[in-house]
Amino acid sequence: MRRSLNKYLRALLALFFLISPTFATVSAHAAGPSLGLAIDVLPSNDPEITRLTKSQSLWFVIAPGKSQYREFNVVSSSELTQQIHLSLGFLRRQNGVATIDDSQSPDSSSWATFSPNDFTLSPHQITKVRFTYTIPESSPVSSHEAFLFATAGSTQAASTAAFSLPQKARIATPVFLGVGTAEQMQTKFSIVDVVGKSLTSGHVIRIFFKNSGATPIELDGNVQFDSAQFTDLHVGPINFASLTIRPGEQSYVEVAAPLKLTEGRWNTLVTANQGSITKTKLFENKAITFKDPNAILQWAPRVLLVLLFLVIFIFSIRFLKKSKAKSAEKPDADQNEIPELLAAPEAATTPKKRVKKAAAKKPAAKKATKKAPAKKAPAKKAPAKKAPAKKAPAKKAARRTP
Amino acid sequence: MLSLKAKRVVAIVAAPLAGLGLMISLTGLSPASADISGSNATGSSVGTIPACSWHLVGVSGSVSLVHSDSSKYKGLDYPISGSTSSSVDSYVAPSSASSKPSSPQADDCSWYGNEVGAQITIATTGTPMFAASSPSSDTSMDFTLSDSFHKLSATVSPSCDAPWSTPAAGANDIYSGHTSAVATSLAESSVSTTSNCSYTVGFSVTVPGGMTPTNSGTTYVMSGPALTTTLVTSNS
Repeated sequence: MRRSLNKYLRALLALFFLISPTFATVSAHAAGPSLGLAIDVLPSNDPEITRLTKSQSLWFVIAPGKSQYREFNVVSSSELTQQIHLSLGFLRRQNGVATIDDSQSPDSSSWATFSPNDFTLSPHQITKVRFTYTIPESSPVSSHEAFLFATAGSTQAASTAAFSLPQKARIATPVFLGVGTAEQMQTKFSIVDVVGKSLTSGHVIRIFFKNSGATPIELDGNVQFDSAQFTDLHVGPINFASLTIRPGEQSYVEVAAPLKLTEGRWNTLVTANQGSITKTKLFENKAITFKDPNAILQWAPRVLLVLLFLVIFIFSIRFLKKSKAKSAEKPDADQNEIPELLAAPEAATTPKKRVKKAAAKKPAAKKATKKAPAKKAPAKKAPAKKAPAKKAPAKKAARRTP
Repeated sequence: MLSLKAKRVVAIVAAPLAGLGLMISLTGLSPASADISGSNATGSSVGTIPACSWHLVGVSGSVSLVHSDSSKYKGLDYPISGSTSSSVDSYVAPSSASSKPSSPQADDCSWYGNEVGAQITIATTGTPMFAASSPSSDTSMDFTLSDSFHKLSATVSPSCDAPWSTPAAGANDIYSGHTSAVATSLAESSVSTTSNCSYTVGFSVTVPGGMTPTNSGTTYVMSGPALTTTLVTSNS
């Protein structure tokens, strides 16, 4: 009984191991067949392409009136028979990132042909395609970017469900086309600067590059720092890879700054590669600081306060000067008032005729007395300021005396 | 025969010559004109692993949308929903791999220094709408996805670890003026030889109330906007 049970178990195990690979494959897509594909760009043997970029990138440099081709494989990863359509799509770059815009078509699409262009791809089949660009004789020297689209659709009949959403699968790969000779489509770039920044995520180093050539660049390389103050202090090399920098553009690549990289002076060596082109630049005794990009915002209130106080200060100084000048004028007024003041007690003792005469002169005196209170107030409040006013008659006396 | 004197002369001349020859032979000096015969050619072979590529699988040819029960359209709002029958997978594998490896290994392929990032988008073109294909030329039940209140909701549920991105709620909804969005992406700097991400998409839409079918009592077959799932490979 036990023997027969063991035999049964062994047979069951053997059967399990036999079917397990099949089971694993099926389980990945147990829900049924679906669309699936890949594009395998075959490397270029053109030394000009390998000099400019990685040989697998879909780059073309073609003189007007000439044509050139590249080859790629369309690989089926599906259990279904798929209908494949090849085309070029519009590539829009936003901050170096390539995005698709299906509402537009690229300017180079009329120069491109695919052989084959539309074909049926059997399950797990690989089809080699030749992608040819033919540039008209009259085309000016220019650079163009596009997406190579490989779109897979089902060959099965449309769904008969009451409501359905038809779907397609697509692979998009960037293409660069430079119209011109190899000399005209030179790759040139320079390492502009290295600066430190303080972000919320931590300190970073930004390495600035300028693309002064005719082709886009996607740089990779490293940066290393040797302290200008401490001979044994080295940081890096820190590797980087840039986004695409278009011709004529300046951009930067950002790398996280290690903790060892403190503010100070560093001999900074940057090495950047584009295809087979390598450039290095040494920034000697470079001051590295980690400035907060929002520093201006932080300083703004302080600057505003300084300006405000400066304005207040200037106005108060001007005011003080004016008031000083006015107080210098006041002694004359005081001098005019003194006889009047002196005359007042006399008037009290003089006969009525004199009083009437004085009354006849009143309008003029009233004018003086009416204006006086406003002007007098500061003079009364600031007796110290009166001192120079008292000196004034002496000065006048001095002037009068030859 | 040589005389004794002559023999001495020969010996006197031969001795230094022999000494010189001995020295030369001991120090290993060889005449410049010596022939070298034979060769010591060396050879080696370098095995390489396949180049990597991004692959996209699991996009259903069609997604069916159904009402929650068996009731039919009566002129009132009629919500329908459905989801992709399988998960959509984007993964790195050898360029010529025609199926997803069941247990991917780091050395299955190499980028050879040419890593590329991946971005998965779901998009449609033109004016998004549902149109009847049967009965033919009957547009009485057609409706457009005109705005964010009359839209095709597409909810992407990725099962991918960081640094794959996760879409915000509503980011992938489809309506006029909003016809393309990123489902998930992986930056070039984070790509490995075994990178992969899977997600499912749930769709829902409401057939608006107030429509009067010309052929009432018949079953309309309606098709929504054609959706394209794109795997964008890029160095940036």
